Amino acid sequence: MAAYIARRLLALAPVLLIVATVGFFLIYLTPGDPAAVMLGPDATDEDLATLRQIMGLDRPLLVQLGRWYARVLRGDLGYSIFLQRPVLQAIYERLEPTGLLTVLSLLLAIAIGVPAGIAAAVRRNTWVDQASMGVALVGVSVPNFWLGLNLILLFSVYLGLFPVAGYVPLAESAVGTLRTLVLPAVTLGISASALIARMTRSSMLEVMGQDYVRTARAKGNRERRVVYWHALRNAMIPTVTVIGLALGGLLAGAVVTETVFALPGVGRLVISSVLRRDYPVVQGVLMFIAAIYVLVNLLIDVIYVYLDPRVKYA
Amino acid sequence: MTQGSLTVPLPAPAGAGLWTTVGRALRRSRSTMIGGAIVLAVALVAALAPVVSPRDPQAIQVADRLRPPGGAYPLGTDNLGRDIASRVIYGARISLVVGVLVVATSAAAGIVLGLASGYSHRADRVVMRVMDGLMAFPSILLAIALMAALGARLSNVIIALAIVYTPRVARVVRGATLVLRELDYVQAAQALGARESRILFQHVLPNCMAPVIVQETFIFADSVLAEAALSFLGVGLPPYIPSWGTIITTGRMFMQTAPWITIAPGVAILVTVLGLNLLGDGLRDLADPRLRGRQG
Repeated sequence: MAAYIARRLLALAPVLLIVATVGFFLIYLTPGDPAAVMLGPDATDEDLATLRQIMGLDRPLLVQLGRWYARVLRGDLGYSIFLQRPVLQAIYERLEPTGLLTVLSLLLAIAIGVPAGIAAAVRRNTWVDQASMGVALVGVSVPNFWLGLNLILLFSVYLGLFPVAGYVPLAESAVGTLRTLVLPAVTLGISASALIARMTRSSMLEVMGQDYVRTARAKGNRERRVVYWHALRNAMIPTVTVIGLALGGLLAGAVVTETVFALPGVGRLVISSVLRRDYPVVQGVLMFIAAIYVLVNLLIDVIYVYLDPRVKYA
Repeated sequence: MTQGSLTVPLPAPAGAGLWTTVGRALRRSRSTMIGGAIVLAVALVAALAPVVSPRDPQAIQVADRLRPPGGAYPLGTDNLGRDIASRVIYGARISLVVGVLVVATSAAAGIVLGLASGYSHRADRVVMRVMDGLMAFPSILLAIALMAALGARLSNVIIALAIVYTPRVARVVRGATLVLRELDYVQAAQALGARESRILFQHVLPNCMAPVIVQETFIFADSVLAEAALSFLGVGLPPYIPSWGTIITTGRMFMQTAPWITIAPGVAILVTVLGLNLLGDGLRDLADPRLRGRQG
């Protein structure tokens, strides 16, 4: 097992290398001189030269690339001149709302998606199936920022149940935090719950047709036990994959949702940095989230071993 | 069976004409038919925009600003008195053009890269590593980062989304190529001394097309959503272009007094993406009969 994890971590190296390379070259996609774009038309030649020197843009490309790899490897994501602090620190300062939002919406997505998928599979071709799959289809098709705007209008403006926007830090009031995160979590969790429901349903149906489920029924087990004990455990394997993929989508979707609800998270940081042309922050967040995404998917693969002893990693 | 599963359908039996096959398929799959009808209807509205839209989408009527739906303005007006119905109808053009061009670009790039890496081990090592690397980024985030570097313009939205979605196509094509290259008819063509390009494009590619078309239908749906999200965030289309995303962005500031500005374009996105997803689900079930009736 340890050997397997070690090997998988090693296999991540080339992926992370590509990730770092994409992140590095991002800045070179800018038409013209990145330093000039960052500082705007009023910058003096000295300012430009200083910024180029700080960012290392005055060095040969390969030297810059080598330094970038070395820095990323050390976990140094650069320095934001606009924010007057290291990029990683800026990310950490805004991690709380983003992290809580992602986790809450994932929990919500699982809590809705898994039961809905099971119900649809068990009552295949009934109204339960059609209704839950119909809702799931709408869930994957709705633009989530638009859903968020409508939820604000309905629940905050008309009904006054939740704050319209903004965030209360956890340290101030946990209840306040939760109140500010309910609507964002629903907004973000809907599409993930739809994906999870669809995958749970299809893998449940796959499993329900297997011999061991027939055997379990033939032994005289109650249907409830057959579904939840014999079928569900096996059906969860593909569902766990989708949950892993969904987590990446949620983390990125938080960027959009935070903008809708004015949450001071990593997403707001990226968008305001894009608009300010603060490239080091954009690059840094890109690296940070990709790294989390890749590690989460590794974690999912490891969870497999526990869920499915048949999966051999020798 | 996971969604990533792949079957390569055998060539259709000779004799059955294209339209007979299509007609039979449509009757078998309700979601293909409904989804296809929705997509066709949206495409028609977009194509006939000058005919069907009640007014000029850019015409400013300050006296009629923020009018609720009804009367002369079936869906109301925005803060500059522009007709929402006309803007949403013209917005269909922008959203569909973005979708079609992203689909075309990602298909071209994905097919070439996928065929190359499915056929040659050397190409595989480089190409698939890069594709895996690109897929390590959540798609909307990569699109935002690319837009940050490229700048907010229509052509750049298409380029950014094509880069984001190409790996998906390349993976599908590579998987199919790996299966197909071992089949007798491909080996026969090799034995006859056919050139590699001929084998790939004449013999392998046509039989990869079914999964590619399914994948591209979902990419179309995702591009419509992504364009709207990018424009909403202010890193997509510039606000003067009436796309569904930009109309919602404008309307956001008037949500409380004039919710109709955001509702109409949002519904337009929802219906279009729903149609594309239905079509994609239906086509996937047709292409892979083992999954019929199993997935959403």
